[in-house]
Amino acid sequence: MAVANIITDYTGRQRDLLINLGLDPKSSKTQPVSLGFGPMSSACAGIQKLVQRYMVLLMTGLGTQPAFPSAGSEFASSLLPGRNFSRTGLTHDFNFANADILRLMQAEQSLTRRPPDEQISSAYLSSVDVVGDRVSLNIRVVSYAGENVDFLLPLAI
Amino acid sequence: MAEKHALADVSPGSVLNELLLKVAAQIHEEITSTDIAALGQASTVQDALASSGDTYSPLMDALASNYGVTRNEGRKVRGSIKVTVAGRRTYFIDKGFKFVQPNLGFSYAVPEAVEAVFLTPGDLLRTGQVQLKAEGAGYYFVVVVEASGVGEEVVGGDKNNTQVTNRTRFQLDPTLTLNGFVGAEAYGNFTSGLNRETDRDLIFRFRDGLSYKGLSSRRALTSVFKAALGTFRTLSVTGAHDAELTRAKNNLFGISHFGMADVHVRNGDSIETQVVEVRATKTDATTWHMDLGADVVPGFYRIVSVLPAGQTEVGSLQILKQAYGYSQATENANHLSTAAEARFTKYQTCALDFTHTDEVVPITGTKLFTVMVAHMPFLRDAQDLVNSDDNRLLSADYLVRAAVPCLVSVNLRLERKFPSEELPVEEIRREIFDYINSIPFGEPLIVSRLVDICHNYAVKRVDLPVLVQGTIWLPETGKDAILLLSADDKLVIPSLPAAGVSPKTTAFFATYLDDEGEANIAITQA
Repeated sequence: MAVANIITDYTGRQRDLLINLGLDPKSSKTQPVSLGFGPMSSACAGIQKLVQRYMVLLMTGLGTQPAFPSAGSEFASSLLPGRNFSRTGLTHDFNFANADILRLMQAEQSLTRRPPDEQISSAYLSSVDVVGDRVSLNIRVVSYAGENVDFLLPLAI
Repeated sequence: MAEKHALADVSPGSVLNELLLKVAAQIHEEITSTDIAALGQASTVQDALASSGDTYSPLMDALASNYGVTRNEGRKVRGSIKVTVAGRRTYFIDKGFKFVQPNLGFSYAVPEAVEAVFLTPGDLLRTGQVQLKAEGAGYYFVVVVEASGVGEEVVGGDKNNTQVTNRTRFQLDPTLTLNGFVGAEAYGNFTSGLNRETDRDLIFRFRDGLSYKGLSSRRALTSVFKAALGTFRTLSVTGAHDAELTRAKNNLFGISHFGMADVHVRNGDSIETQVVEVRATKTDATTWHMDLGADVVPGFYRIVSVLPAGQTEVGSLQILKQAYGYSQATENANHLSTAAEARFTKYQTCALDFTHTDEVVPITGTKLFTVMVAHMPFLRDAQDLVNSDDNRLLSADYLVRAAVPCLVSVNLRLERKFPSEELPVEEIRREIFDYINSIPFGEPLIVSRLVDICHNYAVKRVDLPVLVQGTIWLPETGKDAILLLSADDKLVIPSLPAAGVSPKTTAFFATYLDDEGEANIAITQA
């Protein structure tokens, strides 16, 4: 579902670096995410920033950051090669990781004053596709502003 | 970041925080904490001595200059590698071309580009060229290699010294190729590297730096040798009251008189080998005679091999007879009466007869042979230092002799504490190697120390008894004689002054690999 109200004025909003290249918040279709800093840096705020934060924390391995052992999830480590991947198994792993990420983000949100469209309300896995050496996760993120964003996260396994 | 750029979102989970700031902070924290720790530790002599790591503060260099001491910047390991190739053509070896010893983890590079060429009669080698020689069905050339940095050679770490011995096999670096490459091996023992002196080592030399440099005491001799000879380790002095000094007893009454001393030096952790080409004369159909002068390899311990030049097979021609003598055709020569007194000194000479069949060369004809000898490095330099007009005591006669070597081999059987985990055998071997090579003159080799070393690792039990064997190369003049020792408690050098062996003249040596490429310190794990 596309973002209902497009806020073009981000005056006063804190910005993050955009790494979701090619993501169009106006589109109502599920869009694949391609990560990178791009040839020229650009900033983002609002729902796009929220999606980024969610993705970064989901794919950061738990305990891989010195002095920040609680940051991240165990989802990335579950994608190690050699495992027998199935939709059920991936959904199971994702749900556990998702719960950890939501808890982490909501705890941080309670200590800061973020705009509603930058606060996560929930996230869940819409579908999983396993094709050859790639797994595609169709994830929906819902903000406190009521906006949903569906994005496709393709991962190599 | 938040203060300078209020609009930047640096909260947890943001790209700025997770992918940039945290990574940069982690890198900076490591650098800063290391620098601060090192700087703090090196700021005073006391702190430098108490520091947990090695420090190299420029402040210590300035302080050391007040004591007449300068930091030893270390020495790279150098050696030669014999490269065997299949074809007779020109080979180009670029600067930095690497050879690796996979078991030891050592890597050596060619310091300057060389060209291996096959010479036809009348050709001469030019600068930057080495000769490609025929050997059996193939060819070989020898290149000089050195380690990438100064320091003692390490096995997977940066501590103990491990010397590459003759015939240690090498491979090409996995990223490099050489057309026609067949094999590579060490051509003689590699030299010992020397670590850059740390602040702690430098401070310990302050006292030596202040000592009177008049060669009148052991401390003064140690100070002078350390400054002049890069790899010098330790020395022992035998004087008028010592039974080992026989030079001073060559008088009618056999009473030792003053003015003479023998200085037994250890100029490195390991015995080095050197290859020289010497011409021999054919004396009959299968016998050749060769004279090795005092200037060939001063004070060498023994001849390892004699082979025809350009035809390096494995092994050696049979040596029928060898006799050691001495030559004193030098200025300020020390007083010597017998060949035995000259053994392991720079005055030593050797005449040997060996067998070789060559029907081309007539009797009394000559031919070039390759001789490999084992020796203590820098022996001539040490003797020349104490004999120089600037340094020598006019009333004294100091004869510098290479320490009599007692080569140690150990066989250990260890039971692992955790059966599924392999023990770090190489690290255990290195520690044992380092302990043996650091035993000073006069001290025995304590076997229980080897057991202690093993128990620093996940070792449940060390099979007892641990048998340690020592082979002493005796300084005899007519043959290469050895004395075998063994002990399971402590290995003690016997006191046999008549044979030139005593705790004051003999030192323990351990090499990582023997001449056959087998480990001298054998460790098996159960």
